[in-house]
Amino acid sequence: MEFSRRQLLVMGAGSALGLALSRRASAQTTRRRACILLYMEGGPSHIDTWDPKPGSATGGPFKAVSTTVDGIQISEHLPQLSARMKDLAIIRSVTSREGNHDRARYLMHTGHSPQGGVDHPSLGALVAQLHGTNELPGYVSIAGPGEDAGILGAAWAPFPVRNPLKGVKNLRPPENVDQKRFTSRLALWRGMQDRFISRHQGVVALGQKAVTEQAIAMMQSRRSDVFDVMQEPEVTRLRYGETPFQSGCLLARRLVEAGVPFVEVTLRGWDTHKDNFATVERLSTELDRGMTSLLDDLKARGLLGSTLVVCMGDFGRTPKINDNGGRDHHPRASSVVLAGAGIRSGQVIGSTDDDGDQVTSRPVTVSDLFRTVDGIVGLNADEVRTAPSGRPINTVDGGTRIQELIG
Amino acid sequence: MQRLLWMFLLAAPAAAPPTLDDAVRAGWTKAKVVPVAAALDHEFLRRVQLDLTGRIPTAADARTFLESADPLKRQNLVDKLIGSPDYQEYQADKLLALLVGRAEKLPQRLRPALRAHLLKSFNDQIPYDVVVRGLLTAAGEVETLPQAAFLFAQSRAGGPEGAAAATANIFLGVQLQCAQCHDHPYYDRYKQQDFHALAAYFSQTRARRTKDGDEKTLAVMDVGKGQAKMKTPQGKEVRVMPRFLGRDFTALPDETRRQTLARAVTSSDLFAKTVVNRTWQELFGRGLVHPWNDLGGEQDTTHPPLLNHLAQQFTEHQHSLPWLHRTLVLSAAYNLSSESMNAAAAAEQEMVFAKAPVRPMDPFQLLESTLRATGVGDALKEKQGDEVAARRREQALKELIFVFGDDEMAEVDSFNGNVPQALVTFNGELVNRGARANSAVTLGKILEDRKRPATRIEEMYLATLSRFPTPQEADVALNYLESAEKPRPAFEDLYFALLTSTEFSTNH
Repeated sequence: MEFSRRQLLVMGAGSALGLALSRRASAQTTRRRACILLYMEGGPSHIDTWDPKPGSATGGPFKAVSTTVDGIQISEHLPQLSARMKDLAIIRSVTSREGNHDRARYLMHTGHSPQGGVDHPSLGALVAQLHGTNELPGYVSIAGPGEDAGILGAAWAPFPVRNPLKGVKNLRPPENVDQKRFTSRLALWRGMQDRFISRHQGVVALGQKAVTEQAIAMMQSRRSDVFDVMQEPEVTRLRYGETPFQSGCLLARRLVEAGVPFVEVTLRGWDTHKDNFATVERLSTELDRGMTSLLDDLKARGLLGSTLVVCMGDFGRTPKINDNGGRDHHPRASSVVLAGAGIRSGQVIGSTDDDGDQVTSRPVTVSDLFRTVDGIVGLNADEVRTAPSGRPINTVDGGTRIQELIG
Repeated sequence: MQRLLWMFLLAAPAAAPPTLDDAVRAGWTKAKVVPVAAALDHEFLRRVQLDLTGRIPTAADARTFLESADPLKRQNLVDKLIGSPDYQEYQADKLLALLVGRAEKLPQRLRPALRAHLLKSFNDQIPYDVVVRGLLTAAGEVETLPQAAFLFAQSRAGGPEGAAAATANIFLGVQLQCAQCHDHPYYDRYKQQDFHALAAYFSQTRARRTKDGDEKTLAVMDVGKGQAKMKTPQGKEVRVMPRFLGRDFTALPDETRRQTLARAVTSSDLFAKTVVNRTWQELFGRGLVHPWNDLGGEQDTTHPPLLNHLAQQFTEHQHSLPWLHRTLVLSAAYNLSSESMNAAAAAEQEMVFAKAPVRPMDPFQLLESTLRATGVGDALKEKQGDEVAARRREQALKELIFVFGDDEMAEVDSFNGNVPQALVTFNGELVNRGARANSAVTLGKILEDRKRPATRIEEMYLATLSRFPTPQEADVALNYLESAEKPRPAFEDLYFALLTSTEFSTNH
């Protein structure tokens, strides 16, 4: 069983959490990297974004435009990203079987389909735990709920920021409580906690205590100012755009700069059963500006090499355009885009048929994808954890690394 | 002494049907697990109040219960709670969250109507099967027929397939929705065909939104036509006729498809099993089959005998939720302690219900308990009236639900606490207002009514943790008061520490 010194500090040496999560010891040889997940909630139409099908009967009205990489075309509504294609890798052949939003979201956040009685940790929680605690949370989820830490416990659960323009609420004690009084309250609080915690050993009580200690660390840290995007110059804020997703991209940059290892930013509204084209155009424009600004800033600040940016959603959408001008759920084929972290960019991996219906070459399963991402961010994909029930839980079930990306 | 007496009473047949306790005990023996000690009165009191009514007891109620020598006081308490408006409200809120969890599915203004309908059902002691039949068959305008809101919300969001998936999930504990796109990867019980055949029961149902001037009307109706279709793996569209979970269920003459479905649902063995299993999970932290909505299929031979037994009893007791709650909370397993000094042993014990779990409160419980312990809700009502107080409560609940990680209540059963919740508890308005020593709120009243420091501390513990302080705890508090420059802020600090403790924010 191996824990970092910091983890032991949080949990209290020899604590229950340690027993519940007996981990297979593994030498840490890979480099650790931060990760920003841009989550396209609802399932974006791959055909109208990253995998255009001009000339197909169901290809839709959008034009496919050339990018800065010869032979690669994407939607006309992603113009700034098409100018940065050299920094992107598009996997057009991701395939899964989960066509229900909740199940797909669980899958795309944990790498596992939901199974009764097993709480898989999300990728964000795993990365947060890998880096250990500090004054800032290890997994911040902006404009969306993120996904739970499962068996890792509440200490690694996502820290949600609903609206990045409004910052984090309740970060400081109320005015009538000065520092001196807060300190004495805290000492009293800690003393009063011990009896209950020592008599209720287990993941829940310890997790609650760890979470509260983390909140206290944040309250007392000057570094928590990093959550305030209003400290950025106006010109920067306008460059990103000011929707929750776009300012979320700006906040993500600030957080990664400050050492937060995993940030998720959600862009909602891709569930386009109706009016697919107007919606996808609007969302693409929003994505284009936010993601481009994020990539440019990471690059300019020398952070792109140490940060993996992933853009993906619930699933793809059907080639068939339904009676409401919409496209429906289509897990069989979707596109995932990666950037940064020294991956081989400026390429497309895999392909779908002329309609975007079936994967025709280099199918990539979600296990393949997670095994690859785990390797890039420094997680051991072969690590096996044990659930409190005694059941072993793989980090990733099977799958092989996508060599074209990292080779 | 208290524990011995309680175990003795449990052995008496009047307390609970013996087969429930026998089955749980057999599970302990089989797993070679020794249960923890029985719950002390204060553990039982707080847990059962939270589980049944969604809030902790008042200090006065706690004192009365703890000091009572009546050997039947646990039974009497349970009967009193189940008959209370708090019970009806909390259970209605939970059922509402289950039925229309996602906020975006149902226009906000329809929520109170459906909630009132459910509340009335609890108040009138309408059997659960009758309530569900009402939800599945309601045809008309949502405004005047609030039970139509369930299908309106579900079919508006997902069409016949959405309504079918919700019905299978919520009332039958079956995860059919994955079969919408493909045959199930883990068990082959139900095929894609079966899902679409279930959806066919809703294929003649429409959720309509019509606008007549400024008047918007929302309605659920049956149109007498409309066929379900599915796409075969070969890409061919075929028509699908209604079938219930892979078997034929004969329709009666003049019945709508939904009426046939409602009969099929409420007569399936899964119907009672699902509500029993969900209630069990709510009370014990995990289902007899876990999670509660993964029952697999009808007449499944792998279902534990205890689930079959309880489901049968539930049906025999006219699908009465109060009966179910009463039976479970008076069982031996529910009356176990949550204490454990050994986390690994605790995990094993909790797997077979040989120890009560420690569970984070849900947002309702946390809000209502904080309001009750602080008296802030009553203070607001007195000063600004019921309406303002209700609105402020809604706002506070919204904030809490969000910090619980999602705006979807259905998700909170897996909630384990997070940093924003700790922040809102520590620095938020509610706790800090409630930890002030002014006469509008509980702490101020305690200081007015009681003069001896030891008695004041006792009242503070009863109002927050529903128990007396231990002698050591009382000493710590007294020392803190004595070493403080001014007494009032020191009392406030103590109250603050009690309200923000893990013991307060968990159900144990």
